[in-house]
Amino acid sequence: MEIEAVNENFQIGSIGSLLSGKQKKRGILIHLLQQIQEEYGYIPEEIVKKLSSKLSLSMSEIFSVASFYKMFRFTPRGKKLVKVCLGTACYVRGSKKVLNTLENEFQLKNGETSSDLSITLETVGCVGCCGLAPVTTVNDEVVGDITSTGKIEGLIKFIRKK
Amino acid sequence: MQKLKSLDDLKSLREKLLKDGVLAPNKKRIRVCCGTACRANNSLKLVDKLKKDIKESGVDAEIITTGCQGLCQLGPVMTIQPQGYFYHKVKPERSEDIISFTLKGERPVWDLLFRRSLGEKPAYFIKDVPFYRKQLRIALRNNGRIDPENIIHYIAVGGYRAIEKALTVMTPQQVLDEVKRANLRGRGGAGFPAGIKWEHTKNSSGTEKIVIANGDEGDPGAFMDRSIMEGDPHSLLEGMMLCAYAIGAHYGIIYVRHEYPLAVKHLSTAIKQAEEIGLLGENVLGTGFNFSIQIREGAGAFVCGEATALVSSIEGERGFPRPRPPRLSEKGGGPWGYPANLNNIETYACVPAIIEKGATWFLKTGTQNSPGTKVFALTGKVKNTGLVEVPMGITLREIIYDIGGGIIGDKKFKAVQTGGPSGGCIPEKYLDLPIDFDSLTKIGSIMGSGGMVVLDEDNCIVDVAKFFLSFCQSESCGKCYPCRVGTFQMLQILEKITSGNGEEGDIERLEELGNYIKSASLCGLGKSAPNPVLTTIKYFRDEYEEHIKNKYCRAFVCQGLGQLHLNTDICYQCKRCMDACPFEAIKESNEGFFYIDQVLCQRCKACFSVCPLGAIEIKEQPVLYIDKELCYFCRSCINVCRVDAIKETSTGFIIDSNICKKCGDCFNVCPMGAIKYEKIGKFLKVASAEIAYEGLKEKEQVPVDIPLDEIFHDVEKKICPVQKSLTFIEEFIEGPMCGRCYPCSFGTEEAKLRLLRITQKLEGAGENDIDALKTIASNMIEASFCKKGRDTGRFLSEILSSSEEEFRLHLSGICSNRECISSISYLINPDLCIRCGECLKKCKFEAIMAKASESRPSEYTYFEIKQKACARCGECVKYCPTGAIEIISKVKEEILAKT
Repeated sequence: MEIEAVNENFQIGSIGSLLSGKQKKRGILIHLLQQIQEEYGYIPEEIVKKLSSKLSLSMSEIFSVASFYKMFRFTPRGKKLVKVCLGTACYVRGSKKVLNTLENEFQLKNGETSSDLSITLETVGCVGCCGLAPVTTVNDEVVGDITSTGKIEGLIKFIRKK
Repeated sequence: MQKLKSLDDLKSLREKLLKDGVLAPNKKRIRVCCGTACRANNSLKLVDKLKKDIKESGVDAEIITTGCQGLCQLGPVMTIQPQGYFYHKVKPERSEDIISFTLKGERPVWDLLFRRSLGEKPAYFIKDVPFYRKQLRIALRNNGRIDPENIIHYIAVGGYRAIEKALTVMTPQQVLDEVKRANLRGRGGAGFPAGIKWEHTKNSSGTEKIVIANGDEGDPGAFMDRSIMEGDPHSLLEGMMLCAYAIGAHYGIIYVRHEYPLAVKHLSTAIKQAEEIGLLGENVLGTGFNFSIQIREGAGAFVCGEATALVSSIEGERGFPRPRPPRLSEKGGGPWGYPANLNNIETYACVPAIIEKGATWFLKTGTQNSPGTKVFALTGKVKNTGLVEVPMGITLREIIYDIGGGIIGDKKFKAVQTGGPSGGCIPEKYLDLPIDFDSLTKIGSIMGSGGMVVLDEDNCIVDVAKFFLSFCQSESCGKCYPCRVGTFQMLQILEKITSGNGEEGDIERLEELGNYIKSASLCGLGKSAPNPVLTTIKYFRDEYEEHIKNKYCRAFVCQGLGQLHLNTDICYQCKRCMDACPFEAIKESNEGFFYIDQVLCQRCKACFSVCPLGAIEIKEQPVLYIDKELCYFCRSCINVCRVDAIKETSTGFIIDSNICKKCGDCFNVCPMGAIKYEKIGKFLKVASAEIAYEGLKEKEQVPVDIPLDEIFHDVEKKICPVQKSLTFIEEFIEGPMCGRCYPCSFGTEEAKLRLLRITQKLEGAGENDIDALKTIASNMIEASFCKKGRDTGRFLSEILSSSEEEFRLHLSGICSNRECISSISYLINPDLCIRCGECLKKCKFEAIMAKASESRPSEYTYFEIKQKACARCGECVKYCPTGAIEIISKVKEEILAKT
């Protein structure tokens, strides 16, 4: 998205005739942030810099607004979101091993995203499937009972196939 | 599409549509529900398949993709004209059957018709389905009848007739009066009359006014507004137009959650079509009325459903609420300071019907103070979940049992939560209460936006309250602290209760906190956040008490409560529970049975959910106690206890029920059968004071006003001044101190700590302790309320001034009178010891080591004191016939001499 080319009169719509220039710029902020997130998948800092000079708002103000709303993210996220459950029941049944294996396999640390934005590895408190422990979710699909090495390999295959 | 230039154009368009047979009832037509829930059940695929098959078969039939038809549980649903058959759970592969049976053969597809149970007759038509029978649709009048993405459909079913009427024969004031007379109450929650709100906005000073529709519907389990925005967006637009006409506004804003992409899509299409046809924009239908509508998407914040927070969000700020006044309807209150009228989506959707048919018609339905209908999202443990619109004044029983079809599995009804996380739980006794805004407020709940979650006996009421509160807590914006801190604290207490660590007084604490939050929070979110907890305490207090006192959850939901027990009569040892248990608590006994090791069991209930036979039972935890009459202090229970729950007191042994895991090991090992158990409930009432805490009880019975002289007398026995003052203070605290004034109550406690530090020479003991003692003493003399306190202060002060040197000596580890236990040690002088073994017998702490002589077994060769075990009780010194046990100061004699 070309931030420089954004026309605030167009973005704000007909109500803009009631507003001052400053109010218009402020008024389209959330709307623009949504468009940025849709395009990049998160809110990159460089774009916020550009946005800040375009809207004459300080970067801290933009981050203040963006961080209030749950929808906005500041780190890129991969297409495949893998969450390893480290809740008590899963931990006891060896989810740490699952996490380590996945970390080695995809060369990622917990919380990181691969450079080609294909996969993000995260941990989560409890998914609520303690009966299936240890559990990993791949894009909200639950893979449970990953107790043996064979099952971990199956999980890796499942993630790659997705 | 041709633009309509005048009101006559609209009329003639409608006539033309009727003549062309748009939506005419005698034509073959399939209405497929394409609301979000049915889409999730593949209704779009079904539509594609139907279209393809109809084209191939050559039948003349039309397919309409409608908004939500209500019965989401049984989706995808469809109705077929002209017969009016109602089908449910239609899969894409059934499309050929529908075409060949119904469209060609004009008879129903039997297995797609709705049946209550297999034995009953099927319901052919929508009016026969119990779910729809008691419903009355005003706000949802077009939902399920028209294609929401086609303005022609809306006009054909009589849409935009109200605005047409308003613009031709009514003045703005007449429109407002009509809404006021209809007593339309805001459907968003509080039920403030919309007409009065409109009037406020109209009369406020300000050049421009704004109409806002609040579609930020964030309650878990509520989707009324979504269905209207998705299924009938034009009636929302028409309602907003009528409002704008009445209050003289030119701009409208619809605030929608970003989680509703379909609603945003349908609304944008609707606005675009209305603009194209000339119903929105400049000079609507040539009447000089200007009105434009825009959509603002939220960004995922529940608090933005609150009016002032919503305004901040529209302005592009953080969604913080602000104090009122100014109200939204006043100058400076709405977005950018313009007065604004904010109503809920459903409220606006009712307006066109009121204007078209008149207030008198609207007043006929509902109750006197709450006319009209209300849409509820019926969810939870009912057979038919979905969207229902019912007249006000209907009873909860009718909604849950007649429309909802009763509880799943015919279980017992427990409560219904209305109004989402801000509402309250209504117990069974109010099932026959006619519901409207006022009656619900009276019993502590609210109408809210219309979420209705039904709970059955398998739901734990404390857990439900915790769930709703945790939602409000995580959505609290954090601006004002009653809400931010208060909800967090309440949640912590609930967490404590549900994990089995509840304490007496927690319920009162919850009530107190809840009332503070309600009265002191800034916005509606905080003001209503404690509601679920407060109403559940009001109606289900016994269940809270059961969690706290009996550590038992009757719904088996809360983890960490109750006691899991494996019934060996049922168990056939499939070992599923063993695999499921994350703590390896299920073991095999010597006899070959399985049992649950209570010490390892964390009550996660993994085994309970995995057992195919139900052999795992959850029972109330028993309480074990020791019968003093039978116990002869053999200590075998202490030795066997793995969690050290059995404590030794001066009067015998007691079991600390907070530590005890109820494993039963001590019960099995006790040779006298002195360990007994009882149910907690009974135990708490009868046994607690008598048995478990006998020592404590005795302490309580000490007469409060022992004269200080008696304590003076006791203290005289001690020689060391530090010991003297410590004993005095300790006895004073336990005896005569009443705790009424703080120089005395806090002072003595503090002095006790400092003195203990000095006598034990603990880390950090130093000169400052002595100074602090002096200050405490002088404070007590000056500020104590009664003579007792002042006398104690004087005693402390005298002893400090007379023997300050001795106190200082203690700081270097020396007690010259050899009384303070850390600074002295006992030694056996081998020259004097005659190895009689007297001390060995007397020592309670097994601190004396002795070796039996090899040559003469009755005698001993060698005696020594284990310093770590020795408690310096002095018993051995008393009984030693030769005085061989000597008290030695740890610091060398030389240092003593120097000082």
